[in-house]
Amino acid sequence: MSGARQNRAARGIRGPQSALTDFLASHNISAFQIQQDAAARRRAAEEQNGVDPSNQQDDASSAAVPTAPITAATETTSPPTTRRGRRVAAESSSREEKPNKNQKVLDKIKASKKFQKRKKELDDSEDEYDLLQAIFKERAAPLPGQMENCAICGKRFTVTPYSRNAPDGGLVCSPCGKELAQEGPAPKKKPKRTGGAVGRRRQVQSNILDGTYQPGAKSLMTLCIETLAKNIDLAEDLGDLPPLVIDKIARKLSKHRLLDPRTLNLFLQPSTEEVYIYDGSKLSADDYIKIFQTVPTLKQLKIRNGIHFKDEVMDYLLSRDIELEGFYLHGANLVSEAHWKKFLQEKGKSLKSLRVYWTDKHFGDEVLAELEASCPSLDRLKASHNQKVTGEGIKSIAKLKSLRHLSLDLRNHVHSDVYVHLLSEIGSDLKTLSLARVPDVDNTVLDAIHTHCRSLTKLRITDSEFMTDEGFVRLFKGWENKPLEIVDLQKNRQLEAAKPRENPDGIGLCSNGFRALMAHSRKDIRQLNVHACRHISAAAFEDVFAPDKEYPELQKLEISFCEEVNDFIVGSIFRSCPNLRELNVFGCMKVKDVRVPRGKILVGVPNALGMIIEGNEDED
Amino acid sequence: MLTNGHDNSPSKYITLVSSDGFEFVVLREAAMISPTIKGMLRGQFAEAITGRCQFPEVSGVILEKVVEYFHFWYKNRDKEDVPDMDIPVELCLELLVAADYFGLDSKLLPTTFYKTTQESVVLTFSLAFFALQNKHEIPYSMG
Repeated sequence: MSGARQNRAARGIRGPQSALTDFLASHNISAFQIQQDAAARRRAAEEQNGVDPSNQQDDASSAAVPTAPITAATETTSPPTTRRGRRVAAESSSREEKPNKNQKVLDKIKASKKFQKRKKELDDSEDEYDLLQAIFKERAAPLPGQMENCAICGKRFTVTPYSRNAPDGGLVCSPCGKELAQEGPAPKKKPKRTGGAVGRRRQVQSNILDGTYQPGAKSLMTLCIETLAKNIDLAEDLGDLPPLVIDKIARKLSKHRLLDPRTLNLFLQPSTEEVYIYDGSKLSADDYIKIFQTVPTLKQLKIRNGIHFKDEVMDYLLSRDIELEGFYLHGANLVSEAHWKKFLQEKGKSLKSLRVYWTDKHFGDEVLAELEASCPSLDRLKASHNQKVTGEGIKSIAKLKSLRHLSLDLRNHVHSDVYVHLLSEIGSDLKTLSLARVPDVDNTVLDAIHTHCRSLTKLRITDSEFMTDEGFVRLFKGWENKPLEIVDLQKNRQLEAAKPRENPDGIGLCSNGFRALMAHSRKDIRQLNVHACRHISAAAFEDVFAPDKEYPELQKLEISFCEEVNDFIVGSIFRSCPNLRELNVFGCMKVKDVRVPRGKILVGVPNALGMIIEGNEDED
Repeated sequence: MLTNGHDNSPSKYITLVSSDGFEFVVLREAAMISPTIKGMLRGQFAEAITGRCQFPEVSGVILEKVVEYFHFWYKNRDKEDVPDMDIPVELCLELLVAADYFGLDSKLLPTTFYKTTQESVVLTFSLAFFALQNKHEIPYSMG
């Protein structure tokens, strides 16, 4: 008796079907079966509740009535007695009789991608048969959402897409599935994704932007440090590495956010004088205290993201015999003003370098006022993003005669006169002057630099909206300062939305100022940033990078958003700067097709190709 | 010792000797990325004359890796997107010390010497790159 006839007979008994039943049947859902299941569950519940077991006849009759097929695969099988029996029957029929329809399904499976893929992993034909059976069974299994008995514990459960197969056929419930997963071998690790050609190119571009790009292999030290960072859990002790290498490891670890209380210990050696923490966000106050406990000879301390560097840590530092020479603290908002003052009063004597970044409230004018009396040997001072520092604080800085390096990046508006006063007091010995984001500052400051500064090597003035080209010309022309090495005059330009290209007053660093700067610092200039100085003309660039002019030391040049820069100018720059390493040309839309000499890096070309390197390996 | 047979120009190869007596024959140009070796081979030092550098602080295992790196670097010296050389985790720290000793730092700009002929590249890789021999002289003479 064929299954098909049996089915027809079964349907025949029940008489005509409703449209819904037909629809459900076409989706492999049998209304009759749902009804049967519900009845069976009800019975089971009654049995458990101690009600007299329902009569055998009822059970038998319900079991004897063949149910409508669940899946296409079982549709053609011989009549099953129970659901379990039906699956067994399905298997046996597929193995022995292989009716036409079954064969079709098997053929379909054989043609499927899944089968082909798994077949590749096997080699003998017996395995192939098993595989065919396995997939067949998989397809014959109940669909998600239906109920099934677990093949291991026999409990009923709802089939989900995540239900696992039992080792000898059938599905298992989720608790059994979890056990199976634990017993089974660990899933094979996927091969490392390389990201393909695009991903690798992207990585190269990313390295270029990071400034870590170099053609050829990475240095052995970099390779070792990367390996170490990957396996930092295995490291017990860094041993006797030189401080420079330790610093590199610290940077790498922080980059991967791996610096935590455990890895911190690697850097705390009793004999060291320097501790540099580039990302202290995972460290607690106790960890900071531990630094002072284990490194009694500490001289240089640098902490970035030191959120938990609090008053209690400061108290502990004050109680110890440590005399810091360099102190760099970034993001320590929880140190109070009183503690800053106490720190300077008690530990300021030895302090040569003090750099404080990103504090809201507590590092302000009053702390700066303390510096004169407490820090007689302060050489370097940096205050960046400190909301409480105002012109008053700068007046106190003007009293620090020992200062050689000064960097300010303040949030409050400070009048130019304050800076002029500062420069007239201490400008003559300053080697570094950095005034970042000073929109209100005007030419008087430039004139003060011209008059007072004699030993500057690094100069930064950015974002001024009042300084003029004339002012820059006056600064650099006949300036008795030796040539500058690092110059950053970015974003000194006119901000005028209505007529952006007109600049009648010559606001910002324009053509003549640029010429004067390069004429003054030609010999020694190493880094130059004129980012967004939009009014430097093409003629000025051509003059500055003319064939007869050479900038022997220039290594890094940033001319992004200088509109007039074109291919010819970029080519001239490469000619005039033999030691140039990196040239940034973001937003220079006239740069289209430049050949980059080997060993130099051009960043920000406005096409998708990136830079094109000229020459091949046989050329010099 | 390792001079070119025909004239007095130095051999293309030099020998590096580890603390435990292992000898590595390395292409001179490849070894020159190390400022330390470059310094040893400059002028009239014994090393410069014989082309033989002793490293009493470096063990054979580590020196082998360093030599492997020399050739790895040389092979890839102007390729872009070079795959990383495999560093055994257990040697990592010792190798780091050696990298510092040999000056194999990232500040190095290897673009400075490019003069190389196709021939020398072929030579390097058709020959076994380095002979690992314990307390033996090099069996074959160069040139």
